[in-house]
Amino acid sequence: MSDGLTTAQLVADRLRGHLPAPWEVYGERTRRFEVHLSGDRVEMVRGPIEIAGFGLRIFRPAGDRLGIGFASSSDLSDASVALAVKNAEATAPWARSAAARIELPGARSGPGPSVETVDPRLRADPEETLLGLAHELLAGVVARGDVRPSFGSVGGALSEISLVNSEGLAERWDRSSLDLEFAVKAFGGPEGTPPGEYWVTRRYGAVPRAGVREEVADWCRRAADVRRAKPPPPGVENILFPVGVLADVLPTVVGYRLGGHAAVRKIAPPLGTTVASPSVTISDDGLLPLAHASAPFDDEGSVHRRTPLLEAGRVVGTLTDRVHAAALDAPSTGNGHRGSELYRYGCFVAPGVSASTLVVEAGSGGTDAELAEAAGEGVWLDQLGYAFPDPTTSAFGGEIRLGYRIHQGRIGEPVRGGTIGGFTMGPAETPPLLASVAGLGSQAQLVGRLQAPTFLVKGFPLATQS
Amino acid sequence: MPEIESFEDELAGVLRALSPHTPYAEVMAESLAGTGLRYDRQSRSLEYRPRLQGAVFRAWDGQGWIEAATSQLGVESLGPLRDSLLHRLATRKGAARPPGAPAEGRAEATTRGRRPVADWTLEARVELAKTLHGWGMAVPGILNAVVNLGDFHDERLFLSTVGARRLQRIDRVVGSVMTVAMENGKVEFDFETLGGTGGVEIVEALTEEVVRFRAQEAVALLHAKAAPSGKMTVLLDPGTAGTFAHESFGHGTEADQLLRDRSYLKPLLGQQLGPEEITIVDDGSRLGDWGSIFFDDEGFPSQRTVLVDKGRFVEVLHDRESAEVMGRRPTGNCRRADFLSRPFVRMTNTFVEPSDWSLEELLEEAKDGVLLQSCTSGIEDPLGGQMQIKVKKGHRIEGGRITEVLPSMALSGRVLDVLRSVRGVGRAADFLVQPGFCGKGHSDILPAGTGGTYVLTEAIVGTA
Repeated sequence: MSDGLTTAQLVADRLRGHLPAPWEVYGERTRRFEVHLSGDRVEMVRGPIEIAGFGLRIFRPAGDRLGIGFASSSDLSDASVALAVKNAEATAPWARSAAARIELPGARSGPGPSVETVDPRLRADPEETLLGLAHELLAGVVARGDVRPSFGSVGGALSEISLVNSEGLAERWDRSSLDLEFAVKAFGGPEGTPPGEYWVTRRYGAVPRAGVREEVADWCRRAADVRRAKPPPPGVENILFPVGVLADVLPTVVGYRLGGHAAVRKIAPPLGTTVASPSVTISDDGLLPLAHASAPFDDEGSVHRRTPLLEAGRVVGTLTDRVHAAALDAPSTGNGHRGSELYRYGCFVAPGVSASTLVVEAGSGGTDAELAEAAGEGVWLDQLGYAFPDPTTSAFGGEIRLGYRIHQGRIGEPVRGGTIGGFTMGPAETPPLLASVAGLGSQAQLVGRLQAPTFLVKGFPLATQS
Repeated sequence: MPEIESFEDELAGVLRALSPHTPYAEVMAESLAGTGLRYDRQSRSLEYRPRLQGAVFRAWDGQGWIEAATSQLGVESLGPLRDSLLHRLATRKGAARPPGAPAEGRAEATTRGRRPVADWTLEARVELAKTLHGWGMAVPGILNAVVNLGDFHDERLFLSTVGARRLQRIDRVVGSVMTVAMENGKVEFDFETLGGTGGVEIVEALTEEVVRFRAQEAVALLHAKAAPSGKMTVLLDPGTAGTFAHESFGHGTEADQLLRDRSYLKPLLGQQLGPEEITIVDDGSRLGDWGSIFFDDEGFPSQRTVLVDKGRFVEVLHDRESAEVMGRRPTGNCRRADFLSRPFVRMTNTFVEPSDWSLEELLEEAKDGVLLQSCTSGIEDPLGGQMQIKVKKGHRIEGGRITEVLPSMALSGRVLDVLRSVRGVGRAADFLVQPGFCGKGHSDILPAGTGGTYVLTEAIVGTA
């Protein structure tokens, strides 16, 4: 994005020579555009939305532990950098981490891993690319007579990420991201029946190569199905979880419970523990091309890689950032990531342990239709309202916004309503999700931070009105 | 970081440049700061929140709004931003005026705490966190007590081409304790969260009694049996009632959803939806509550808006556009998450107003059912009118008495059915407004208060 000094370099140049090591500066410059839709029209165009900022971490002794001071700002002036140093120094003695020391990465002798992280269309002309995508979304709906666009937005950002530390590391990489929200309404049918709405949100690293026409056609069909969906029958216990539903649960829960933060607090299952069915093998991968979380490095400068977590249901790995790696006396797995619900821009958040993209190995259960045949009776879930995954207990649960009844081995009529939930892993009175996997589909798909096949889960009760 | 007012001349200069090319333009400039502390048995993190400053300009192009924003408020950044807006306005799509009348006049306001946040030293914060943590850890069976203490300072300056000026400075303070218990690989927790606008006195209600109670509940949850499932009598605690008011009902009253035909409530305006017991309000003008603001981000003052008055659905929440379309006045509910986010109609503090039933009377009326407590989340379905709320725990109600503890549950069902089935609403002594964050759009998250008192009704309960 720029040929001059990076944001991290601009800040680091004012620290060298007088700020004692170790320290690290993370810089970010982002340019974002958005197109907002209301009905079948463009309601608002936003952009450029430009933000630049830095996050400074310093590491100081805090008794027998490492104290970590953090300060960040969008103000890049000398006075602001000086204030960030002052604030970080003031907080470091009070901010006692789980580790006694830290080893920051130094200057690299060769290039880092190669991974595609920028969509060339978003780089070349983000505004036109987003307008084109918005019109493609609308066109896919307007052509049909029984559905209408409800609302939506597409937003695209180009970011330059930079990282400099006292050990000589100086890296920069560019990243694009795309977020999409779109809702479609279906009409028609008996007087008084409310419209059905199908509402999706998606996060990508790039504009989908094949476009969105096919997906929009599918969403339109689903909106019509929402309209005619009935409550699910009582007593259902066999559930097909496709990747779109699992993507709201597994990265949050597995990324935490099999991570260093949980490990030092003794709530992570120990290595060798069985927490899932033997068919379940999961790894974490920071190098999937154009996946939302992919980059050559994590947000501390550790090289991204593939880390096995579960093999045949048994715990074989723990995700770590630099601090928790030191606390566990192990090397970092490159899972130090920034960003939070409150602060979308990573430079304003200190890194913590989280999953990059979780990858669940596909199985031999075939297509969703073949998994349904194996299920016999049950429900194929399309959408939950929101699963609200709880990383501490691993609980999740939500209302069924749309599903399809599986009857005599076939996916059939749409259902809606009732709640489904339980624990993702660990001992519990109701068997946890991962331990209840009875079959895995043969094809994995990438949605958000999860690449996985459909899961057939048995013995997972669904609560209904009866 | 310079005070946001120090950029007023530059910001006004951009508006002057835009003015000949648009019937209306405005700017919202913002300065954000604060501190966050997390304290648990393994680590402490104490950090200053991001010091952010920036501005978003909005202008009418004859057909719709255009916006541009920057985090750099110097002339070198505002110049290109001004030019990008002028470029778009040069290809204006029509001569229509923007919807609704703009805010006018000048006003300033600042929150005042009995114990100002500015005087809350790092040492005092750590000492408080250590004390809260210690109370939780003293309860047998507790593995960890996670304390979070924080403050957010938000300054917003609003200017427009019709001469309006608003300046508001808001301090928010929040504190929570989460007590974690573990046995044989099973992990459970309970929590207490307090927050509001004002000063440090807000977190003083995190007493030893409260923390120890939450710790004991966490231990009890380890042995909780599976929750019942199906349709049943439910008694919502004040926090859960607040989430119901906000998520299940409130989002359907945001008038931009009505204009998009995305609210199941739209055809019901003016109708009786529930018994006279139930009154639901949104009020951004309540002093001290978490979601309170002085002005919204179109410059209109916050206010008390009665949404459901003794069971009758009487009003919705408006920005200037929806107010014009629906023949009403703006209600002070047009909010941006921050200067990087677009404006939407948003709630402020949304709650069920108290009636006069005591908890004992509600339990007796319930006879058998479930008391739902420690609400953790909810999600809206403004078109479908379904509800989804999740609670961390509950208790069975048997023969009018509270009995065994129950683990996390999810509530679902049709909102209108739940409203119609209300049989009793608790009293003022049990009223509270809790801090929370509300999302709309892709990630436009802002502070919103939710609350109320106990509500007795019927809903579908399931495991979560």
